Amino acid sequence: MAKDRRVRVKVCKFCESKIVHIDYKDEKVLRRFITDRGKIIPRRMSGVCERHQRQLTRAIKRARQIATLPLVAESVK
Amino acid sequence: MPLYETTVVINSTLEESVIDERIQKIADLLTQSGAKDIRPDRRGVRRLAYSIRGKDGQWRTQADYTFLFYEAPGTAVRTLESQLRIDEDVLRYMTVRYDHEPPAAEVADDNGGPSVGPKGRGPMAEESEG
Repeated sequence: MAKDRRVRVKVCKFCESKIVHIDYKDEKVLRRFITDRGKIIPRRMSGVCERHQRQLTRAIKRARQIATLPLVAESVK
Repeated sequence: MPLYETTVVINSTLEESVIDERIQKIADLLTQSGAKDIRPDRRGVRRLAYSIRGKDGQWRTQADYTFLFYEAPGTAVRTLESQLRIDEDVLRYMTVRYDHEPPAAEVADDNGGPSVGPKGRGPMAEESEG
């Protein structure tokens, strides 16, 4: 057997706090799931479950439309 | 009738009272088009994530946000959007349809809270872009 590797169990933040609906108006929450550049963080990195990631993506894209979240970060432009 | 939520981003250089008036006008238009249970939620002036050029050619870095939640036939949304499209002071608008009433605003809290498995549970609110 190879060396014991510790596997960090990632738990979906939304499931943890029992959130059923991700709101596009909730900028504070959404900001945690985008990079400095403004890209959506993949769920393999954030640990968000499939169902919530789908909701999250939609919410972020909506927030971008109404200019509450950036399309591209100001510094990158 | 489906539920809708319209976000209206208005030029914040207008007087407070003028913006109020505009929102009232939008609500009246919706009522005329058969909307009911209109719940406006004015969030006030806030910074935009990126600057938007208004119809007057000026770049805006802040604007006034209002969310209107209502129950209406689809035709009402069409009427409203056609009106918003030509409004000089509306920088952005977006309508979202909800098939179910979304649960009251929940705040995601990273600290504490019971540990739940990675799979979500409970029924999800079905949504579609209006």
